[in-house]
Amino acid sequence: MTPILPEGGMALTIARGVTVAATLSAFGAAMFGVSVAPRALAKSGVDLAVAHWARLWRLARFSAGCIILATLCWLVLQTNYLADTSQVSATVEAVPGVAADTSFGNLVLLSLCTATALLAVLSRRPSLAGWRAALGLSALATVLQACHGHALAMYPGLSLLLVSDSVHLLAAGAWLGGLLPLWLMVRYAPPRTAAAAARWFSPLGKTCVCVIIVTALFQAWRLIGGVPGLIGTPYGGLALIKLSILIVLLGFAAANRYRLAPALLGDEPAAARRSLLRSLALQTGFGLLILLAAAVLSSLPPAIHEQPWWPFAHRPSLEALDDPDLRAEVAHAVLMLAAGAGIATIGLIWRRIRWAALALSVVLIAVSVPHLDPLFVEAYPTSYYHSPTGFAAASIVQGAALFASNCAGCHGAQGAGAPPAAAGSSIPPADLTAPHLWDHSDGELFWWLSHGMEAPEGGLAMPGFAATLSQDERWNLIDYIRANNAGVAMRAAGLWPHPVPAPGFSASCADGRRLDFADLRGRVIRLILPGTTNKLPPPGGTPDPTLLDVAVTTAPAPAGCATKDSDLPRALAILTGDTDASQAGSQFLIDPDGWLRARHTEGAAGGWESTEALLAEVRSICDHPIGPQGGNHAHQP
Amino acid sequence: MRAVRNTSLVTTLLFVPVTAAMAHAHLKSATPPAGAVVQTAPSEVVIDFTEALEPKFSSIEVSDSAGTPVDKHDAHTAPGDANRLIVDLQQLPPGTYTVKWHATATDTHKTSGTYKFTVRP
Repeated sequence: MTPILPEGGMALTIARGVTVAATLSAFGAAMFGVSVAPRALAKSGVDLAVAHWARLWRLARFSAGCIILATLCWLVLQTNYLADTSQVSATVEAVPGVAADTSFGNLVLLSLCTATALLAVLSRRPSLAGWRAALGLSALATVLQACHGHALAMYPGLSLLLVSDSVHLLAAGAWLGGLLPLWLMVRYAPPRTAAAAARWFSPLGKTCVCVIIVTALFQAWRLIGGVPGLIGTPYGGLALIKLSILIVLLGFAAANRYRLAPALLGDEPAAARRSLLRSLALQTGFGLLILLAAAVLSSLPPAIHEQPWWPFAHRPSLEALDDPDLRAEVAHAVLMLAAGAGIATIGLIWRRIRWAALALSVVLIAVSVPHLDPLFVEAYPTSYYHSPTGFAAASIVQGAALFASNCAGCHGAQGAGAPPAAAGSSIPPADLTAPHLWDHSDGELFWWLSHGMEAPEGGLAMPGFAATLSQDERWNLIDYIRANNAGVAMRAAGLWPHPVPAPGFSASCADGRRLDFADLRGRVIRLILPGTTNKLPPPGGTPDPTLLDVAVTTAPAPAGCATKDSDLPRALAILTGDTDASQAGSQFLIDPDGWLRARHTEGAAGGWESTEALLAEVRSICDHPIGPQGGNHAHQP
Repeated sequence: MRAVRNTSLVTTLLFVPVTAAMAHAHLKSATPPAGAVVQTAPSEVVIDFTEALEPKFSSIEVSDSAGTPVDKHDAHTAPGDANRLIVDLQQLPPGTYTVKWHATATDTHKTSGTYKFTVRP
């Protein structure tokens, strides 16, 4: 695997990590001052309480000062990275510009203002109201740290991801930031007070851990996406490291709460105090480690923007469940597994039959596991790669040219045959027009195209093209192979046996909007290619608000939306298996999920020249959605 | 089908690394698209990114096959859409053009890339 290198260098990442650590420490101290210290110190003498409040105050004030210093360092190092200069003077000159004109700089200025206000509140020994003000200001500083993350860049404005990030950081601050105040309490207070502090800290810590886990799961779902992203990208790998450190932290927390803190009230309080102090210090150290990991994570592109590298020879797949026999086999195995687990549970509860039950469950599990085999299929490192092309019309058309010069020799001009060039090969070249093509992911096709197909007797039946074609060209080929597969099926049977994605394009509208293909999702699009009788969309728009007309023309469209994508007609011709590359006079309907659903050619019966016929077709498409993932439906254009 | 998969296994190549593992997929779409052959010369290059950009630290440079810049050095984000970077072009004669983009997202990530498009005579 590629080593994890934080973008912008380690100094920048450490400056960021220290800023976050200082912010969480300030918030944790304020939270301790509001929720734990008043209760823990309720029964102690006045002198003792005054001394402890003073310690907590100094810690909070020190943290606030650190926020300002670390933030300034971060600003300078970040400017150095953004301005891409090695000169100190150039960096210093660029600082005001970065602070004033970038989102990062604006956030830093807000953080500095907040930290200064916090320092002002903490300039005198705070009352309880003062601690509450410090809590509010440090919470704001913590939320501002969350704004530096991926959430705001991916979803500008207030998003669920940003809320989750903020709550995650606040919970981390209340928990990890509370460890130093707790350490001070254990170090200087009598055992009884220290034990009370640990007890009052416990519910806060437990709540925080629950919140951290729930928000982390949500963030993992949005930024990592799934198991391939988790194990196949640097971002996912680091998230796993962070998870391991969290487990260590939880171990310390459990030991502190249930073993070390209660021992303060036992026979040897001095020894118990030493153990608890050591444990809290270690826990704080691991807490800093997790913050460093978080800072590196923030500097890496999220896993969902990366191509995940799959390290195993198999991957889970529900594909086999389409086969009734295999479905029955798997269902039996799952039932047996469930029975095995159930019997094991009963055995654990009911002592008398324990060993018999455990033995029976082991047998059941051992018998059933091999029958789960159909749930796993062969996998390749690129199995979970996703095509970056968006099935763009330009990509399909470029793929067509690449196919003719690189693939047609063996696979035939249409991708189906075994031309003379393939006669010498031990196994016939794959029929790229077979419906089976759609069972393979883009990532699998990419692997075969890059590294070749192995022959049963050894060697390669098909060569790999990694050395001769660029990655983009290989993705173009995959788009063309799919489009051609759909077109051949359409020509032969008059329908698409598999849902066919519409080719990607972008359009601009008379009102100045520019729409890319993703913007067009959520409604039915009618693509209109001008012909002799086929007119461009009427200026008043379509009669149905769910329908958007897009003209495919290089001439200026008088009204409505138009695309000048000159590859789109040719791509549509390939997808429909039509020899007329201009597709003049054709109209196409694309459903709200982006599937190409219907086509009307000029002069054909049941034409869409009649508004009723067109709207009936639109309603039929909306009433029978395929869904974003596709399915096994046949589609008649 | 499993039998077909077994015959087509490439297990020996399973742990050969490919360079794509570190690719950043920050460019979402571009007009003209990468590799496109267009009939009419575009008046601008528009690139949509997966994240909002810092216009001050993002740029698009377009040059002809001789390496001469043909853009108007005015790369800017679209009004109301910080994910979209636009640069205006001079009148382009037919030929192949190289688009070089540098993007800095608002979370300070930098990415860059290059692609070509062709204006057909």
